[in-house]
Amino acid sequence: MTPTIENAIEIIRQLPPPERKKVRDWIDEENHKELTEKEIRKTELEEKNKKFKRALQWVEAHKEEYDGQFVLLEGDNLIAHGTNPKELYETARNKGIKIPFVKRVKAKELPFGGW
Amino acid sequence: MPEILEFDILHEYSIYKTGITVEAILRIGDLNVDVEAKIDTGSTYCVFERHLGEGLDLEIEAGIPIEIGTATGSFPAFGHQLTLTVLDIETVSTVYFADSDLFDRNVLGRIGWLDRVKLGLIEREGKLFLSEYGRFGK
Repeated sequence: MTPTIENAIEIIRQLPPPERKKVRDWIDEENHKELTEKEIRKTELEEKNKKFKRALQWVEAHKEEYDGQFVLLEGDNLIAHGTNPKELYETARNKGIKIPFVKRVKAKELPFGGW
Repeated sequence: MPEILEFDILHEYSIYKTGITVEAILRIGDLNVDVEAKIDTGSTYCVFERHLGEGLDLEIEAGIPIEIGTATGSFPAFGHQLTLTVLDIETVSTVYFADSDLFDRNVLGRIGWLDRVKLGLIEREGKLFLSEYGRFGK
């Protein structure tokens, strides 16, 4: 028979106080672990967003210089540039970049009208 | 009676940039590419530049062929299934890569992305609220 939460609560109720404390400690520990994992994930996501924003800021600052080219960026570091994006992906792999950001640079961007 | 919505993610986008911009990661197996994409509720599909598919080692023309209509005509594209991650929400979706090298838009449209999320927007403040569809009961 699959145990239910009602079964578990009933069992816990029957435990002596020191054993019930162990259950509470275990629940606290699990909650703490979950919170820590969420915090770590949140920090990672924030770092990733910052890196992406730095890349976009770099493109904005250098759009005249690299107009019409593709650039491979790691945050605001230019790794490579050129007119053939395939070569940039190859460069990224050779350098061990796991998630390459290859962007077509346009000096002038028209307002986007959707489709 | 007011409707109350809950979201997991608040993303602040620049109201000075063209379109509502988010980072998207496309993945097939071990290969990933990072892309600046625009959210487009007017687009039926998610459509990306050809080079992004090539960066994933895809043979673009081997995908599902479609013709996508625009205000001024149409263009061919090819659909491929992959993992799409936007603001930490991961979905498996069919997205389309433009046939032409000259196509220079990357959009997250209705099928494959908007139908996988719950989305709120305050354009005036540059705030995008997002949850995976199915969270909080919806």
